Amino acid sequence: MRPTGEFKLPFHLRSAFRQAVKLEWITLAYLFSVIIVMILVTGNSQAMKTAWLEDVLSTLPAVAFLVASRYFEKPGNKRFPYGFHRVYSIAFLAGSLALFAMGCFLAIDSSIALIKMERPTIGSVFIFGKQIWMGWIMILVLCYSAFPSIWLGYKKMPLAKKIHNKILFTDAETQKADYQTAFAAIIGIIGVGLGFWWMDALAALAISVSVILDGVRNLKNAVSDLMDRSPMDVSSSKPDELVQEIIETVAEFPWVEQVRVRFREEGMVYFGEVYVIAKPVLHLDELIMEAQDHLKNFHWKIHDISIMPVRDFDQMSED
Amino acid sequence: MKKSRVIYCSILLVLSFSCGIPKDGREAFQNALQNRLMVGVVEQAGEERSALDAEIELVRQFGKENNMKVELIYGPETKLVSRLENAELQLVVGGFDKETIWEEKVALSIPYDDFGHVFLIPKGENRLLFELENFIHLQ
Repeated sequence: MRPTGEFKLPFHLRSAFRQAVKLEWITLAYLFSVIIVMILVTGNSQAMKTAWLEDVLSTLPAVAFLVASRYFEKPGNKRFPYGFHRVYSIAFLAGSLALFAMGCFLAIDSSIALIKMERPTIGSVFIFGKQIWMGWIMILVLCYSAFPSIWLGYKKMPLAKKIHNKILFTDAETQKADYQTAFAAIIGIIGVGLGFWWMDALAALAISVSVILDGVRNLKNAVSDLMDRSPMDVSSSKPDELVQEIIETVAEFPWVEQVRVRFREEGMVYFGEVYVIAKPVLHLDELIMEAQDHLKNFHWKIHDISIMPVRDFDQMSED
Repeated sequence: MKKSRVIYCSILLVLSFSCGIPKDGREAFQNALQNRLMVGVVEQAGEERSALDAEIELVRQFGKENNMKVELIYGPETKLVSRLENAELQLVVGGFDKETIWEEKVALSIPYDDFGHVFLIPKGENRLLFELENFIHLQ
């Protein structure tokens, strides 16, 4: 058994990683405060309940990232020869599944409220003797749940791209779009205030549909990653150009006739096999070892790579 | 986030300030002002009768302060709550507290006494609740 080697983020990215960890801790602390405040004001507004549950779910990517960050650099061993990089992918899958499941539950719950024509009643509070309709307090709380979230999302996004971390990227994207949830809920509450009871349930339904769509998109990416999809960029929208760069680099080696590659993502790094049809040369094994070392130092994302000489590519498709 | 979206939403919020929020879903308060405040009274007997009289007096005061005529309709609890759900009544009194079994079907006011008794009003009638809670707070 030859377990994969230890992985250490390159020096120039460690500061970005530490910053990402710090931001996720801040995110958790902030989200817990939002959850507590929202529990206090939710009442029987469906939109508020949905927004609150969505905030509870928002803690999952941060928790997943922080837990996974303690394991991903551990070297492989006999039991886990490929190391622990997949811990990010697993965390991503778990979070996506929770998001999707909760989105479905919220959609059903909101639909039932709409069908049963449940009319939300929002009372008042008295602050220093002044009566304030609770709806205004709810709106303030929703603003608190949105604006710092957006700021955190914008801070995390460049870090996610730098360290090629999909959980962090998804978390950043979701937080950036948090204002949509808050505004939908605000419109629901204002609707209730104007006497349109159905706007509350409709807003809740709109939020839950958005949660479902996020869940589906993330589930698709998480499952694809775990099925060893060819590496994609951090937004999972297009193939990573690094793979093509490796093909071109290997093709330029003077002893290489033809080259085909097979790469997969494991968390933040790539594992790959390079198949070459070599020209008739001496000391092919030494040339291969040199090429492997060269490719490992090519980019920090290339963690484990093997070069294999083959006679032909008959068994391998071109695509 | 586009600035335009922020502006539109802010305008929406500002406009809503001038729209008399909160409003009733079924115009309970408005109907009470224009016609009469229809109050369901759960029939009580014995010692509870005097507590009920105090509740009724409180409701009459509320009506007086808002220039509303008050009409009392006596009946069994279940029937009155059913009429309240349909907004045929605006208020039901009968010594209810926050633990009442009807809390899923109707809305409850803030307690009006130290024993935690509340009034029952139809769900979604937020203006009526607003005015009632203001009245209770000032007592």
